[in-house]
Amino acid sequence: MNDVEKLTRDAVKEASAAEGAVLRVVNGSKIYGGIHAIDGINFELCSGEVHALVGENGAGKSTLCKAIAGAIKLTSGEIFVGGKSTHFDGPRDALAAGICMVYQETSLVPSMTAAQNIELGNEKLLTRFRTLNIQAQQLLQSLNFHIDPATPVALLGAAKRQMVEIARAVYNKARIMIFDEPTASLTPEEIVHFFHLVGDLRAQGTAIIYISHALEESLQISNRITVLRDGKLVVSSKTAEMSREKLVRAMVGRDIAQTHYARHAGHRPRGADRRKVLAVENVTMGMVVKNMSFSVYAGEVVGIAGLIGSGRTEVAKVIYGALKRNLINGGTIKLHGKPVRYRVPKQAINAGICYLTEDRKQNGFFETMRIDDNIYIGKLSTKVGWRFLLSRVTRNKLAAYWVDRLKVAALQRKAKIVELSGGNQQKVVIAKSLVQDPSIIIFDEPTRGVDVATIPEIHAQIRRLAEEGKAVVVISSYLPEILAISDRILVARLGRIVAEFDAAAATEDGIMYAAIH
Amino acid sequence: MAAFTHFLRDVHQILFPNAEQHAIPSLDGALSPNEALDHCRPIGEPLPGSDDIVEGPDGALYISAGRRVSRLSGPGYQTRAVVAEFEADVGGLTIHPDGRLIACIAGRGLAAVDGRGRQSWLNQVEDQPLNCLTSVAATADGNIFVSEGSQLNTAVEWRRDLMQKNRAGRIIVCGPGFESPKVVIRNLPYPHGLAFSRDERFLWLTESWSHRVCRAAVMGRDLGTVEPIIRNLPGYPARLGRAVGGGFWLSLFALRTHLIEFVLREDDFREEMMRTISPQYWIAPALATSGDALEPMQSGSIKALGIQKPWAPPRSYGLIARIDEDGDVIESLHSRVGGRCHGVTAACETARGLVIVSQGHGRALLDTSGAKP
Repeated sequence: MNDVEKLTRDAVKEASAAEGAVLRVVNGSKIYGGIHAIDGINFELCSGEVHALVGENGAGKSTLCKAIAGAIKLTSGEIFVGGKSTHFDGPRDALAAGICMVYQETSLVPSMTAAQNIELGNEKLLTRFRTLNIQAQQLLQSLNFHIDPATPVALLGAAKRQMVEIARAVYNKARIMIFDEPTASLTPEEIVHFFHLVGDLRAQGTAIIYISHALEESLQISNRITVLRDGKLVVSSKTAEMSREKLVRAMVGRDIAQTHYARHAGHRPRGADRRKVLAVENVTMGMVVKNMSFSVYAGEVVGIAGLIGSGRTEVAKVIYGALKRNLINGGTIKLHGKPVRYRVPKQAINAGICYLTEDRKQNGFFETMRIDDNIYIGKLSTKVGWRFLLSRVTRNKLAAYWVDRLKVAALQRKAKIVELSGGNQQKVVIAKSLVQDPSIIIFDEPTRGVDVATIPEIHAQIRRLAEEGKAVVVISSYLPEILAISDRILVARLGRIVAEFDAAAATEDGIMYAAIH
Repeated sequence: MAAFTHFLRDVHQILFPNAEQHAIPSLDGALSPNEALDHCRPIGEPLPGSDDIVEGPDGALYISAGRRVSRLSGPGYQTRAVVAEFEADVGGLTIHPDGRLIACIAGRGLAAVDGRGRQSWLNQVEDQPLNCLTSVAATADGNIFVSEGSQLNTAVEWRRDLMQKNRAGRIIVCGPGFESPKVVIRNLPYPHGLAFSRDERFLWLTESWSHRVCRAAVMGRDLGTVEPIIRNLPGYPARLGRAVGGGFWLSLFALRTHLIEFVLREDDFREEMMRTISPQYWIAPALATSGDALEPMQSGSIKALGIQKPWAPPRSYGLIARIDEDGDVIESLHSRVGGRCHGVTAACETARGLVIVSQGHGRALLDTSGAKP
């Protein structure tokens, strides 16, 4: 070790001790295939502080946090925990050092119960399930999470899985917690609970790294904000000195006019001159969807808002044939005036319905396949596009068209999906569905985990589809999104559509009131 | 018996999974809810029991309210005069081409009043009394078509008729002097409104209990087969008024709700309800909300945090829709749960605007704004 390095490390030790920094990353770099995912990052986290980490997808936030949490090793640079240089061989070492990461895509074991997942990694030789469940129940209740600890995680929705992850971090008594997009799958009410929880953890002296695309959240909850762009640290400042505009400028590197699609000034009259494409009448599925009724007309965007568990996703899946409505008193679904009941999604695809999943990683694409192939698979799954022998020419043509139309920002179409940013992944999922030339497109949380610069692009594409005469349904928990792109807004509650708003007259408060009461 | 009926229904649904189940359609598209009815201007003082309205050849309006027929004239229809008074409530009205006012009188029959106030009556057809006349229309050649909602109940007992699921309505035709009356269509589920198409080739009629609008070809003093034009309306249709720009104004006096549809399916429950409970507290459509604590809540909390929810399942509702000659809805005016102008039973479009009768609110309303395209 040379003198300069020794001096730096001594200085870090002193600085850490003086400022109460519990974590420091010095000159952290990580190289994947010759490309810097993060490059020379200097980052510090103090005790009892919420440090927001923001940046576009691919900026290096997750890479930095994975290095801190021991999931990956830095190519160069050092991590100091409590002033001591540390090298983690895996997440278990990081956990032992009091660092716990709550991942964006949850790392739970689906076949195990919520209680078992919370206990995961700390199991005793003999575990009594009853004790385990009681402990988990107490923990979940203390966190105000309404989850049955005996439920297998596979049966829990995205929000509840996130809650189990958070509970696991709290259970492990982590001194440093890293939340990667923790609120992406939570409803506004749950977000309020979550913020209270973060406040409590901070009061107890826990240091928190908070990654979020929702800039308002970062500004609201954090003490300090660090912005990363293209793997480099752009700015690190106290939150009080930051504003949304400054953040966006730092993230994107330029001024962007808006973060949502800008609605046209003239609001179009509804329905009168349009064809009714889809009519959902009294559709019932178990206890989740109860007597749900709504219609969708050609050339309009219908937004469906509501809390998680209100049956929005489920009714979309019933329409698409991924779930089955009740055989008796299950209601009617009419496509172009004719009653339909699909046994499998393939039938729905052939009838011109496509559904874009809220969980793209799980159900949206083949992550180890290339962009071209993913788009071509969409075409192959239709009756018209099915071929016994694959055609490279068709594949390349289709991919070229859709990559251009949706502005998929990949260096090459041979890139594997897993290597793309969330925004680009979502664009490929959209392309994979649109290549089927559907007449009805159902978007479920279309901009979840998508960076701020890509959101308006996706919104513009959704509006473009409506303007092309397609019937579009957008299911979203993010109310500004619903308000920005919808012609009509339906609110689901307890499995029913309880209210309908004209987009011009709707407000966030009004929608939330209808969703809750 | 009820269990057997349910069993048959379930078996039918299993055997024919895609058969239409006549769900209540959602209010969307041109039927999207608004508050346009509540923004209409009331005409003069309240008219309790107001039911139907027609425009006379002199440009004045004739409105039936309680036992009276009043003439509304002058600027803004503010001048009011009683032109006829009867022993029972007055329902449907029309002006005969010869200038007589023809009115449906509850429990009595059809009355014609000439310019001097002399009355002539049609009290029975096929030796059966005319207890529940709902609407009347006259052709240019003087023939009179009248609808009787039910032979089994009077007009005020319309709720009972719905709960009994009767199909006891009929259409009667007679000459200009009420001569040779005859029944041209029978067994209709509460025909409530009649109107001729512009060329008088068709008679349009509403069937309240089957939520339909139909039409039948006019062949002199006969009618052709009834042909449904609009099926499965979201509410109970009342009267039809011809629209100036073509088509009709269709009044719907109440909305269908899941709770009422459920009660209509459950025969035992419904029979016991009718036997044991006062009609005003039945789970049934209503023309107005009384605010009575015993009023059924229709499975929805109407107020939360002190805010009245416009989207709550309605006990009563105000809705009028304009339909074109193909039966497509073009536009609609609503008064939602928190509104006042409920129980719309008739509308008449004049040169000054659309005049709407809200029986639940007991008023005539004038819409001069964007009701017309």
